[in-house]
Formats: sequence, C-alpha cells, structure tokens
Amino acid sequence: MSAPVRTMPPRATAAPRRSPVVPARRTQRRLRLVLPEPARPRVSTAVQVLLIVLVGVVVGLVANILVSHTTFKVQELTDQQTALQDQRDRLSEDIAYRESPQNIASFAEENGMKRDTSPQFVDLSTGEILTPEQAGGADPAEESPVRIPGPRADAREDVRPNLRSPERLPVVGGDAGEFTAPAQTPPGG
Amino acid sequence: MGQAPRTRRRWRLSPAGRIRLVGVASVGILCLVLWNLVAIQGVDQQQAAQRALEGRLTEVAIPAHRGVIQTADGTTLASNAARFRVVVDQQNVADYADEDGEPLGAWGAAQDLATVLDTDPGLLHPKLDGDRRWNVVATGLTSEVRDEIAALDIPGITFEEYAIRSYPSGAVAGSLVGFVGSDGEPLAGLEYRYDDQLAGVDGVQQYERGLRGERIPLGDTSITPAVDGTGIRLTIDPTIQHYLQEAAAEAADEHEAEWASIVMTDVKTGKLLAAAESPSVDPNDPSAVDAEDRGARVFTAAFEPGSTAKMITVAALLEEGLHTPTDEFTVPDRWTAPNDEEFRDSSAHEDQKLTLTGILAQSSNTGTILAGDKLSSDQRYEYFTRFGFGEATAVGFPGESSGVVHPVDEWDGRTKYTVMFGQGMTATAVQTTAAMAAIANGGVLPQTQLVDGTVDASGRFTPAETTAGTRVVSEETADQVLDMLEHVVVDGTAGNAAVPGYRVAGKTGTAQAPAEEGGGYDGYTASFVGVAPAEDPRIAVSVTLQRPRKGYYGGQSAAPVFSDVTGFALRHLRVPLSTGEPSDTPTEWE
Repeated sequence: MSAPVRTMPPRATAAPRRSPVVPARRTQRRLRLVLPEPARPRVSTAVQVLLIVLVGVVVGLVANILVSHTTFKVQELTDQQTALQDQRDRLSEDIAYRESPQNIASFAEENGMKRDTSPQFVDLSTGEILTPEQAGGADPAEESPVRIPGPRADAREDVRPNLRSPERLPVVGGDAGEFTAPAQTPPGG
Repeated sequence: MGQAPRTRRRWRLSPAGRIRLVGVASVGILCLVLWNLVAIQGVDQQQAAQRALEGRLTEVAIPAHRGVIQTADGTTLASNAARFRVVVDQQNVADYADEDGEPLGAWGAAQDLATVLDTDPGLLHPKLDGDRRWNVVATGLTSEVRDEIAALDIPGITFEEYAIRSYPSGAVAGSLVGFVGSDGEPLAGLEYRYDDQLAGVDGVQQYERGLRGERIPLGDTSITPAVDGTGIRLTIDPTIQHYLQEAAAEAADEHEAEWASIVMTDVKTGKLLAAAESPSVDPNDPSAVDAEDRGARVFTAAFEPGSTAKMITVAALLEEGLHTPTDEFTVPDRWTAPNDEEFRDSSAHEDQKLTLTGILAQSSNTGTILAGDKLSSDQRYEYFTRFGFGEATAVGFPGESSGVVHPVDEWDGRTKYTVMFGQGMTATAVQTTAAMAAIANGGVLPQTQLVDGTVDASGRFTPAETTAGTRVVSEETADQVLDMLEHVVVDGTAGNAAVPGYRVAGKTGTAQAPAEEGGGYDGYTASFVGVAPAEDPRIAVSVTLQRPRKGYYGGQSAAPVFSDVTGFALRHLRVPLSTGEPSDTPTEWE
C-alpha cells in the first residue's frame, strides 16, 4: 500500500524570471511527494468512546437497579403497611365487639357476677352504712332478664360465605332490597 | 393513395426504465413507512403511548370510611369493617400446579379453596372452570380468610376489598342508630339523618397491569385519596341504654304489650341518656323484625298522654295564680259540664275532699276539670305548646312526630275539657319526658339533645352547639308542681314508682288507645313519667306500655318499671342518696 501522491500548487516564491530575448515558456508544474500526516491515535479515541458508552450503560444500569430496588422497597413497605392496617382493623373490630354492653354483661354473668339489686351506701361524713328501704314496685332481676340481640360477633362465622346453603345470614348490612325502611317523614307530612 | 397500416404502438419500458419505476415505487413505499414511523414516533408518539398506557391502566376504588357513631363514652355503635371478595381469572386457574409442578387445574384449586372457605369443591368448581377473565367466587371474607387463600398461590385468584357497615353493639340503641343497606345507602335513623356528614368521598387508585393482571412494579401509578366521613357522638349512655332495653323488653313481655318504650333525659341539659324500646331493631339484621319495628317509636309514635298531662294543667293554674296547691275541692266521681258533656273518674267513688295536690295525687279527672275550668281555652292551648307539645324536638329524627295539639278553634265541646287530662291530643314519649324535665329544671324547658358532637377521623371530639332552654313557667311554680308530683308517689297512685334511697316525683297516665283502623278505642296506653331525686332532680324518665293486656293502669305496669330503671340509673350515675323528707302539703281536707 503506497502513500497517496498529491500535486501541489507551484511555489509562490518561485517567481518566473523574464528574459527579453527568450520567448516565454509555459510553466510546468512540478509534482511533489506529499508525506502523510502522522496518524492520529485512533485506538485511544475508540477506547474512550467505548469507555464512555460503557460507563453510560453501567451508570444507567446502576440507576435502574437503584430505582427498581427503591420501588420494590416501597412496594415491600406498602405491603407491610397494608398488613399492619389489616391487623389494626381486625383488632379494632374485635375490641368494638368485646366492648358492647351485651358482651360485657354476658362475660360478667359467665363469671358469676350478679346485679346489685339491694345496694348499701356509706355516708362518708359519718361512716354509717345506709340500707335503703325496698320500694314497693321495683323488682329488678339479678341476671339479664331478656337478651338483647348482640353484635354479629356472636355469629361472625356467618360472615364467611357458605355456599352450601343460601339461608345463612347475609353479609353484615343486609341488602336494601330485602327489607323496607321505616317512614322518614312525619305522619301526615 | 394507399395508407400505410397503422402500427399499434405498445408501451414498453426499457430495462432501465423498469428499474427506475421499481426504484421509484420502492422509494415511495419506503417514504410511506418512514412517514408512518415518524408519525408514530414523532408526531403521534404521545397519543400512541397514551393509548397503550390506557390499555394497561386499571382503576381501583379506594372506599371512604363512613363516619363512626359512638355513645357518650366512646363505645362504638356503628363503624366500618373491611371485607374481601375473591375474584378469579378462569383462564389462568388452569395453570395451578402443586409444589412438584404436577398440574392440578381448576378442580385442584376448587379443592384447596373449599378447605379454606369451608364448603364443597363441587360448588366452587363451576366458578373456577371456564374462560371468563373475571368471575366472583366468594364475598364477605375477613382479612384472615383472604390471607389463607392468598397463601395457596393459585394463579388467577385476586381479591377486591370493600367496606361494610358494622354495628358492634347490635340492638343497643339500634332504633336510634338506624341502618344502611348493603349498597351503603342509609335507610333509617341517624344513619339517614346525618348521611351528609357521615358519608365520605371515595378515592381512586390507578396502576399499570400486565397481561395476566399482575401489577407492574415500575409502571405508572396515581392515587386520589379518599376523604373519610365525620363521625357523631351521641348523648346516650350505653350501660343505661342496655339496661333500659332489657327492662322495656321484659315489661312488654310481662304485660303482653304491643310495645314498650323508656326515655331517660338529663333534666339540666336535655341530653338523652337512653331511649329504649321493645321490639327494637338490630341494625346488623333489620329484616329480622317487622317493618314497623325498625324505627324509633320514642320519636315517631304519638299517643294520648292521658293523666301525665295533668301536670301541665296544674302548672298553668299555679302560674296564672288561679289556684294554690292547697286549694280545696269537693270532687265527685262524675261531673256534667254546662254543655252537657259528662265526665267521670276511672272508678266510682263517694265525693272526695281533695286539695289541688290531692287531685293530682289521686289523678282525678273530675277534680282536674273542676280546678282547670278557670283556665280559658287559649290558656290551656298556650301552656301545652309552651311545654313543647305539638312541635317536633330539635333532634329532627327521621319520621319524628310533632304530636297533635289542635288549635282552639278546632276544639269541640268535649275536647276543651279532655285536653286538661291529656285526651284529644297526642304526644311522643320524648315530648312528655321533656315536659317533666322542664318542671324539674326550675321551669326551664331544656332543648332535647341526642347528638353531643362530631368525631373526626383522628377521634377528636367537637361539641355540638347547644341552645339554652326556654323558660315556660316560673321557678316558684315549677318547684310547687314538683312538690305536688312527689305526693303522687308518696300519697297517690304511683307508690310502685318509689326508688329505694331516693325521693321520686312523677305522674301516672292511663289513656285509651285509638284503634289503628279508626272507629273507637281498642286498648290502653299505660305510662309513668317522673324525676329523681326529687330534692335535686338529675334525671327525667318516662315509661310507656302500648295496649298492655295485663295491668293497663300506669301505676300498676309502668311505675314499677320506672322504679327499676331509675334506681339503676341513679346508682350508675353515682347520685348520692336523697336527704330530707317530702313536704307535708295536704292532699285532703276536712
């Protein structure tokens, strides 16, 4: 492989000399060998480009991994939050059922407690124990005389769907189509 | 001259021409493709991306929590609970396999689900088998059951959360709380009355999902949070409410009454401490009782108050200075008015020498007419309306009755007399209790209050604005009437209302109950309304039994219930035992 040969323009310094006797001659161009310029360090440029690309890709990947990791972390924390909310809801629901007056009365009776139907009082100023006379008409029962329908905790299993029988209780709240509401306007209104 | 045959000229392209043509066509197609590419990537890029995104985006509603309803001490009467429905993509369930990769399919999924759901796999299989992309398998699951199903890792099974209204105290104050339908729409009671406040605004969550319905972790997501409703706190004391409901149920049962109600209010503030009735509704299962038993009769049922209204007549007489508690009357068992209307007492008796206090204590109709005849018709009407009769309370309960006090010009010759002992007019149990509270509160009618304030999502309580009571009679008059009412219990018809350790004042009532179909009366309304302790009243209580078949006199059936529930409430409220003795105001004269 040979180096390219270039023709160069005539040198500006070689001005033609004029002679009064000699007819003018046609100037001849002289070919001249042009040496190639020193080759640039192409390899290092490629490496630089490659490195830049590589670094770019790596940075992109790392950023992507970080974003993904953060996203999954957020997802994980969100799941934890949901689980904790579920737990809180479950406990709140359970406490609400246990705090109902019926359940408290029921637990009290199960533990042998009875209503105080003939209380005595202590006069704080004298320390005297006062026993009120029994009234004529009052005849309070020591135990709950009538069971007031309790919370659905009594039948919470019914909240589960039972596909064997459609006769189980509907989901809490019922269906608006199943029953009619009482009048919402005054009589005659 | 012959013409040269016309040669048909055929267009033929030179090979170079054909190549050019193909080239032009190719360039044209290429331009078309390029243009489309540019259009999609450049001009229409956003729209195309938007369309693709819309295909992947799905919306899930975030239900707003409905405001809670609490009693005065924070006991929950109505709240919300999360429930889940199981939804299946039937096309994916077929991929269900065991741990070894052995395919189990829809039948295997049905078997495993049936164990958790406590049902038969044969009933579940049709719901799981097929090619539907969305099918409901079960509803009403708690989060525990949901977690158990999720642990099975059945492909295509997902869960949808929804909120239900829960009533943890069951029937306690159920008639006041009301209820909502399964669609969350309020149907009765305070749920209906305060729906604007209780209902929140649902939010929405958007996220991207893949072909199998799974959530794309890095996809677009947006959340519009739900705005929860504001709760309300009632003035109701749950312990008293529960006790009174039991007492009402027992009384209705014992006296075979159509229904029974008990109302208890704080005489100073007008706050309802309890409003019990039987039969009553359990908001968890409203369909368990008849439609007429799903409301709150204490507000909606107006009935003739009967003799309990005599306290208003007596208060008017004292306030107008027409009589004093010791004025003397000779009271016959029958009395004929100038317009020939005849009136009689509940039982025949010789002429009685009674004071005005004695007339009230013995609940004499004829004596009340003899004394009250000094009141003009306008005065009679005015005092009943002053005490709140004929006007609904400030509670504004759905379907609340204002009762009936006819204008004077509508009174016939009999009503002008009967109104003085509570016939020819109607009132609700809440109105009668409020009137008694006015007498016990020094003549100031307190505004009846059921809602004490609001409770926000963080549980912060904001008290409701209250209005000062209205003076209806002077303090002196109120004190005199209260003293006279104590003699009803001590010397009169209401001995059964006495409460051990506490002085009690009150009035019995026995009125005829008009038939539902009209055409006369078909039973009685037995009632008692009173206050305790008489020397410094704290609570006013009314007991009403509608059409009792056993013991229809208020003093026989309603007064003992009053004694029971009032004694319980006073002890529960830690009210000190009464001191002092009733006055020696005479009830008879010689």
